[in-house]
Amino acid sequence: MRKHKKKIGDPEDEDSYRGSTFKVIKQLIHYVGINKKLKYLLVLFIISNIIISWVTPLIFRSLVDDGLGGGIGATQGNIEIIIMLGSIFFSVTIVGVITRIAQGYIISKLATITMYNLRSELFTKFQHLGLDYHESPKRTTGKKINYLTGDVNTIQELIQSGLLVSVSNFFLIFGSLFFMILLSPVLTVVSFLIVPVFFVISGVLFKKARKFFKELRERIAAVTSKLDESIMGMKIIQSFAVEEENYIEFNDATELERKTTMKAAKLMAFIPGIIIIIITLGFSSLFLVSGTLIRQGSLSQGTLVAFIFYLFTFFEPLFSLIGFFTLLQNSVAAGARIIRLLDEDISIEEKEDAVRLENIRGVIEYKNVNFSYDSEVSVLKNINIEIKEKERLALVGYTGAGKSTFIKLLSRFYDPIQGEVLIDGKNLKDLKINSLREKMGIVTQENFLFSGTIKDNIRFGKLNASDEEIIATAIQVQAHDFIIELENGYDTFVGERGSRLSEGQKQLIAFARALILNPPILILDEATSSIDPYSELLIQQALETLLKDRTSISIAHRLSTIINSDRIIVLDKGEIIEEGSHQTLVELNGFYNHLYQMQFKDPFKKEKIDEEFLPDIEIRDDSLDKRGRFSRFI
Amino acid sequence: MGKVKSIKFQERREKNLNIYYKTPLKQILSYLWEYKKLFSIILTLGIVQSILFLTFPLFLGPVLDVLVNPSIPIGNIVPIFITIIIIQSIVGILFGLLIYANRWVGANVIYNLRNDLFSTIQVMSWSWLDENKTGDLISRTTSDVNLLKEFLQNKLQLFIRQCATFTFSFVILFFINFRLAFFVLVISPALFYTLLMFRRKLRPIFKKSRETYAKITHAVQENVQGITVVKSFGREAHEIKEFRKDNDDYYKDSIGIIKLQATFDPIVYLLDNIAFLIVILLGGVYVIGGDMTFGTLFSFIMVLNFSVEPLYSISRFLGNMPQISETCERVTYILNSKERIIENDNAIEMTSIKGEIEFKNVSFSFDSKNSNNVLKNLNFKIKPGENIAILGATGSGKSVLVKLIPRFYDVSQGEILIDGINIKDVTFKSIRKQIGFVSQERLLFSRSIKDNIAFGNKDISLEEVKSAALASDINNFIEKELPEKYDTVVSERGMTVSGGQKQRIAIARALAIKPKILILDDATSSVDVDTEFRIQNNFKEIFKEATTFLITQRLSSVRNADRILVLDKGIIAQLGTHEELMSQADGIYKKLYLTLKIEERA
Repeated sequence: MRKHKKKIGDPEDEDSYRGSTFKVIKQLIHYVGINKKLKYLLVLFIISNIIISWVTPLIFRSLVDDGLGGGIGATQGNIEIIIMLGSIFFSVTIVGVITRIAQGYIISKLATITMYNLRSELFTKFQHLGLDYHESPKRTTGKKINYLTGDVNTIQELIQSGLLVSVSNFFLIFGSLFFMILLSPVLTVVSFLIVPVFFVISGVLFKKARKFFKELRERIAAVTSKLDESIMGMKIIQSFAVEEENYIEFNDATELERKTTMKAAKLMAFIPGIIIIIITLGFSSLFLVSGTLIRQGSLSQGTLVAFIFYLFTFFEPLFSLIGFFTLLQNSVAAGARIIRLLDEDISIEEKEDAVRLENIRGVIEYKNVNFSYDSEVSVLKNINIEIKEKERLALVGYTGAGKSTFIKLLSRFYDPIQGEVLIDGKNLKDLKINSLREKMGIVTQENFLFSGTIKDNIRFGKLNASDEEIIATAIQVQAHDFIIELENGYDTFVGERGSRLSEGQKQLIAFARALILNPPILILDEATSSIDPYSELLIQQALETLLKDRTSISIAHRLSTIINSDRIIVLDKGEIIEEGSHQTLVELNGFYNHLYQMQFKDPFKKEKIDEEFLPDIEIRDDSLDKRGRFSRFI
Repeated sequence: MGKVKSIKFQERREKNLNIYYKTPLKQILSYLWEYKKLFSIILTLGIVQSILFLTFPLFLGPVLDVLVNPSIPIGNIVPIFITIIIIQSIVGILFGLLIYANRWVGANVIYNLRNDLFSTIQVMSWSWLDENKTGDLISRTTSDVNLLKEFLQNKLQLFIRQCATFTFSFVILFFINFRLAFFVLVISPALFYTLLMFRRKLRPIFKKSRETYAKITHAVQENVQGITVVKSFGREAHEIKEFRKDNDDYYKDSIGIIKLQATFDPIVYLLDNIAFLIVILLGGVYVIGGDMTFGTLFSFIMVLNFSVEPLYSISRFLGNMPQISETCERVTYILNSKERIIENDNAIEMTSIKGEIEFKNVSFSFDSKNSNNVLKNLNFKIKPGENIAILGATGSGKSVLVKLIPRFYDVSQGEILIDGINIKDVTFKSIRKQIGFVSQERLLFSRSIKDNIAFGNKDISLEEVKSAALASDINNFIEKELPEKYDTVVSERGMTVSGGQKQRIAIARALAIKPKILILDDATSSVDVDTEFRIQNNFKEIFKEATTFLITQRLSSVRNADRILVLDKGIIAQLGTHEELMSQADGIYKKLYLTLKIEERA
């Protein structure tokens, strides 16, 4: 289903998407979902509104000339004609009111539906995009949220205030011009003599203003990023008592914003003034010429009145078009970002004939697995391993050794570049992703909780779990005691990201969440790193029971957590360097043994141990980041 | 410069806290009120400009009368045209001035508002920062303020001008022809009634839609942050379903608003045209009857046209008002938040701390009701230079305990003394400048590594920065792995630093201020065992004189401390050296230590 379209440029880079305006609009229109009837109705209403605008001045012309007797010297007015034309005008008005209500309503509805559709699509897209997208450092949470909030709002505003009306505005402008020429070519020429002057002047001003507006956008962005950073780091700022210095830095940013705003204001102040003066000059010359024509008898008063009304129906849509194009320019970036996101390729896709993974034993196999995130630094090299049913496996190694990646391949957050991962002999790529992930309980060090109650958070693991099941699971992971001590027990709200709970408490909830479905495979990624030894002691036994009767893979810094594993795998630079039980590996006296001794050595005999173990083993700095790449500028 | 502004901030802050404003909008307008002189000039300019502009159609009538009457020489209209052009040029100039003055005031008001918001957040205590979501605060101070900027710079002046035009065009209508104007006025009750109804109906819907919108934002934020969890549990479909609900709600509210707005404009259009009809019919009769010239009728119609035009803008403005009020409320919420920890007026500067710390009957609870004390009646004394490890179960209150010392939170009962002085009698700055505090938070600021380490004291030399980095075992990484070494700029886009490295830079940041008291609140959780060990030993050598508090999960580090404080449910269970605690046969520590050891050795 991948679309092979030429993609638009990167909207973060102001120049690269320029000129894609039309492309962006074309693709956005696609999301203006609405039934055909409504679309035809809208066209009908727009057309009738245009016709009304065209006809009304003609009614006035006849009113002045025939009703009031506006011809030269003609003083015979005719009340009947006035009343007749008045009622025509009134009926046209009534039609106008109805079409306007309908048109306004339909357009707003279209805009709202588009907003709704885009939000749903974008949200759905977020759910389908893989971790390669979500974990990329380029995309901050703030930016991603902005796609769904600010950018979608901008597009709604764009459709609401003109994308559709602009078409009718074009008709109005050209229609009015046509009628003006029809009524009086001379007056038309006179009226438009001044127009080029206006365009030249405002063109120059706008061009200058644009520079200022760009500058202003940058200034505001600077203020925003300073605010962003300061609010996120407020606790750190306060702990160093550098509020004053920080304020001065912030003040520099706001000061620049203020100055730029004022500079731009100076320039913008000219434009409306110039417009007024030009309108006055235009009107004056129009009146002078038309006066002469009326005296010659070649122009009726009614025609003049009608002509003036056409001028209004010419300029009003023209100004609104100008306004629309300014809005369009500002919105294109938002539209481009949305389209780009919707076009983003999904790296992990389910096969169409993927099968559900039903009851499994929990046999896992990695066959010649190679993996790298950016095809430069390989993170896993030729991994071959078979994990037996109900085996307890532990992964050990420095940060960046590839441990996290190892398990991410298992839950198919990423696909191996070479080789395959099998569960019960079935290639992961042939399975329905959800059925695969349902078989695994995953606990990471992040312990992300959603802002609901404790019960909601545990239930996240099994949506149809009963309260009894939830409590039983909480008891299993030793969370029950602290939960019932909370204000509202299981119904206590945990706050944003679980902010009302301590790290350790969050960890226990995360455990319960992973275990409530009784998964045949359990994955613990640094799961106990936030728990103090005291609490760890408490959950150790719980873990013991939990790990029983299922296949498990644990990653831990703390060796005590994994000592009782059936098998330990030591990863280094993406390769398995040691493998065996704790006892075997200690006796091997290699890398694992070194780590083990570091953990338990007596602090006061540090140097001695260092001498003993350090020389022949390369101890690296944890200079690889989470994705296993060297920490350098990308 | 910063100082001068800060004084103004203090003044405004007192106003914000002490004056009761009827609505949040009024409070925001009080910022405008600071420029009342200039603002009254703007008002006057707006009114004068509107009136002068309306003379344009007024003059066109007589011109038309002259033009259609061949008995009057055409040259007679030249002076009228000159007058028109002069007046309208003045209008143009006044308009330009008005816009400039308005933007000037707007820019200054926003400048003050931004600075005040920032300063307010800076003085808020940690409990406030805990309660308010970061993302929410950011959107209140950025997008909400930008909305107000637009309001103050454009919409407000437009509204004023439109109101003036509307009012004075009626005056002029009466001036042109009293009777005709009177009949036109007949429709105005209907007009005002419509406006009023519109506003009244819009308000509740708008409020509701703001709430549903906030829900959407929150849902997106949470989903994006927790996407890994969502995916791990295969909950994508569930999340989409949940989001659809919020999206549906907001859609319904939006449609409600649309219906109202789509009805309002045409009603104004209808009333406008009824007025027009009245003028044509009655005016026609007058013109035919010779009671009125054609030119006068023309002027009347033109002015009427100008008077109705503003109504559309006014309706749009009023339609926007609920949103503006909401925005004002969101912004003033920050301005009106009270700081919960206040510096004493006669607080003293504590120049050099020795590092003796004493807790006297200290109790602490997060909520003011004091029902659930996190810390209960703590009493202990720490000697200068002592190295204390704090051990306790999750939720035992260790983290809060250390945060009481720099006064991030205030004790609920009792007092904390540093060198015998109650910390409440000392300025924040003078204690915090001497306390190095490192938490689990690993945030680095987007500036160079050097500036990040010198965060607490900009004036230190590169040598001092380096020695801090050496002590926290990160110098090697910086010098060997980073392209620009200490000048490498930390940014979201570019550099990727692992959690452990960030933690070590954060530790260096705290060491660089040469603290007299050093607090490490689980600050080494992402650091390897080896590294933690090296860092801890570095501390012991370099910061011999600093009193150190260490909360860690590693038993080996705990064992390394001078004394160990064991907390149990907010009470000190044990306090003593490793040997002392080990000799207390039924103490928690011994049990814990032995079990862990045995477990680990097994």
